[in-house]
Amino acid sequence: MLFRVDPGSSTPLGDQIAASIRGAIADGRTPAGERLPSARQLAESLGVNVHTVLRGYQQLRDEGLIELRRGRGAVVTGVEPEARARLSAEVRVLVEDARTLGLSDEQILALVRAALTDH
Amino acid sequence: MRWKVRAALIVAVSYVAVTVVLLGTFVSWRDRLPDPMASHFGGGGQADDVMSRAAWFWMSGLVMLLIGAMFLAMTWWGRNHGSHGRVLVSVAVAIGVALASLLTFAQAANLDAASAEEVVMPLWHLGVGAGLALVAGLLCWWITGPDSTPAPEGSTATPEEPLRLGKGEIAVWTRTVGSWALGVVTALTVAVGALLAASGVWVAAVALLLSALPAAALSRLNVTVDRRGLAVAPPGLRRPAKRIGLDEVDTAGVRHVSAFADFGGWGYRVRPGASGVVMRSGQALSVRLRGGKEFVVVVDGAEEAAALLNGLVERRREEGE
Repeated sequence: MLFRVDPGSSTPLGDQIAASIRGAIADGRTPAGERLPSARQLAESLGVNVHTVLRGYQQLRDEGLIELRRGRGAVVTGVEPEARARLSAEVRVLVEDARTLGLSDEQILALVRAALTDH
Repeated sequence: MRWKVRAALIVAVSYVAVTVVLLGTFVSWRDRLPDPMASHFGGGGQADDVMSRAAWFWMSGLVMLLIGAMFLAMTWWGRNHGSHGRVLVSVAVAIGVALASLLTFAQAANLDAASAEEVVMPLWHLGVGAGLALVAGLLCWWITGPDSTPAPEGSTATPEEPLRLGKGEIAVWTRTVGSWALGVVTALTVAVGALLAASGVWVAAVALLLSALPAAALSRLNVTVDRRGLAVAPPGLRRPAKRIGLDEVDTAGVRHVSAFADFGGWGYRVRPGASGVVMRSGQALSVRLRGGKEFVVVVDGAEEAAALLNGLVERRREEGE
């Protein structure tokens, strides 16, 4: 698994780490059941704080892409991880676009809710 | 005749011949041997252990068969360039002759003994066995001859295009590689150890279970490429087992490694001009070191690792200028 982060970018490092993993899951290079490197090991390799890596991992857990288990580390979960990683990435693009338009959180949620009621 | 066929024939024929002599003398002396027989001798040549006659027969046959089969496999499947093969054949035959002659001498020492306790094996028999082994080894060295088959070209690595990295960009590649061979070894060792513990043979059980530890520790390894270079480490260990700094790397590439043919087995392997962590056969990251030597790690996705390693090395060189 390849991680690429740029400390000079305005995107927080934790988000960049999460995006690397999301990309690897989305294009099938990291299949379900694959174990991610331990947060400590990855932090040492990247030269960043362990909490930064953990923030990225927690983001992916909240999206349902990985499971974090004590002692077993982070594992990619089994339910169609490729498609779900792509979906997570699309949602992030949606949020970013909405922010550049100056929409508030409530307005974005209202937009999504409206789309949901139509389906 | 091809060199390999000749070498394999020499090993096979020698082992069959010495085994026929060993078992043949046993059969013809059968009625003159005590039962049990003296099977092991102390420093002064006195018998210090016994074995039933039938067990002796099967044990000697099995030992010769297993060792012969092992050397035959090494001769046939091993990649023995230059003089390696010649040495292998000579050593294999010398060991076969030494073993068979010692076992035959032990049988001879038992000949016409009333009981196993009174059997004495004269120490000069060891010298005769060693002498026979030396003569057989030298003879085989001469008849085997050097292997003139050229080394296959497939063993060179294809270099990978370096990954373009931004100035401040941080990139890390990491992957876990497992070995079914070492996993099976671990499982078998633990199973036999547990069986021995259950039957109360504590010393052997503890020794076996302890020996399973390194096998278990090495059955999974993390391979990492980062700003510091290449590292291979057992999971959970802070210090990597093997580290190659960026400054030591010339170029990185990808090649196919066959564990047995290229490195003679599994694990951390060292060969002239190359060393490597070979957990299984397959695609490997191949690093050409500054000193001209090669270091390989068998791991999936090695192209990405090689590209990143080349990218990191290139960026460091550009920054150094």
